Amino acid sequence: MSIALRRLMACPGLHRGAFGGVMGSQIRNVVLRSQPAAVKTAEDFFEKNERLKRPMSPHLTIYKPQITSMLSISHRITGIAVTGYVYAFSIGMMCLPASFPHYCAALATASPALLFSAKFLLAFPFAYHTCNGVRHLMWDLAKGLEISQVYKTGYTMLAATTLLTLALLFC
Amino acid sequence: MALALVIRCLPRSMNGSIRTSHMWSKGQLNGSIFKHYPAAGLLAKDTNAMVAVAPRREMSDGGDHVKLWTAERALSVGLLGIIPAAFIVPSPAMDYLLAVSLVMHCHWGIEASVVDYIRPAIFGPVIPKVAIASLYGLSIFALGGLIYFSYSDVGLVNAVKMFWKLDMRNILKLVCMVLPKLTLRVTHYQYS
Ligand code: HEM
Repeated sequence: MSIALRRLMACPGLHRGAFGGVMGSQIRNVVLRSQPAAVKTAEDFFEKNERLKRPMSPHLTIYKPQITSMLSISHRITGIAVTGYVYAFSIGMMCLPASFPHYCAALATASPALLFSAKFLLAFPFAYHTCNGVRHLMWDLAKGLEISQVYKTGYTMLAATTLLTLALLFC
Repeated sequence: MALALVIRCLPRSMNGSIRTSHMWSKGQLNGSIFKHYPAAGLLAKDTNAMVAVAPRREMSDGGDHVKLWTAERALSVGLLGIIPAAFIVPSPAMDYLLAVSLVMHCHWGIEASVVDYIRPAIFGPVIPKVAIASLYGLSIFALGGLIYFSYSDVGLVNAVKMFWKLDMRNILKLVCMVLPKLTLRVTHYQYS
């Protein structure tokens, strides 16, 4: 191996190429040592991004908002909202000194517009999450996963949500 | 190379088929080189494993993710019946059933979200665990509160019904009050 390399160094053509002829015909000894190759420890996706100081990639903001992704994130937002209501009600009633009918009577004096808004803010997220929940359960049975069906059920779900919200508010 | 491929394939198959939440919360991932992909750890021991089996092995690894996932879906289907039933045939038993199933569903849902957003890669090893532990505390407290409310107060279903009735009366009042004014104004504009 080292012999082969020395021969290579001795080759005049190569010399002139590498050192511009300054080194002339000097022959240098080259010693090769074998070292174990630096083995890169398995670096996973997150570690690589951390090392490169890269944000989560690809980031959500690079995508154009589409009905599919918007309906999807809305399921999570409405689920969290309704959970917020339930937990706040439960913990709130534990913290309040009087029982529910007392506060309900107090609420009766609130402005109708305010009460209607409150009712809408309760009914709409619940209706949306329930209707879209059915869609999710359908997907979980591996049904309706074609993109055209995803759109179709998406619009159907929105119609159902509207009807359920109106029914809850006015029936 | 094959292993690298497997590692790359994992996040998607994990997100698509199972909840990762319970692996984090059980601390199976901590202290492992493969802290983000426990299945990759399994595969490292058995490099002959095929890519396709990775998610399965993942799910069967300590803790029954298939059963948990199925239970979550079963409960979601159950809610579709329990919520209307609790309002149609109200009783203390239905109120308790509603409270338990509602809080369980909410807890699982929030837990999945916490696992998705409060990740060790961003928040370090401690905060995600604290978040999950706090969520357990919060959910238990909320469930206790609902059960106490059913026992010592009017109960969840009755409370919603009382609030809704009150609302209706006022909305009718609003309509009665506002509608004539609106019509008056419209006619006013028309004739002026
Ligand atoms: C009958 C009514 C309901 C149905 C059919 C339903 C169905 C579902 C389903 C299938 C999921 C899982 C979505 C997924 O696979 O990512 C889910 C998530 C969730 N649900 Fe419900 N749900 C209902 C009512 C509720 C209620 C009343 C609450 C709150 C009080 C709630 C809170 C949540 C939360 C917080 C999530 C997590 C959101 C996420 O992971 O993106 N759900 N629901």
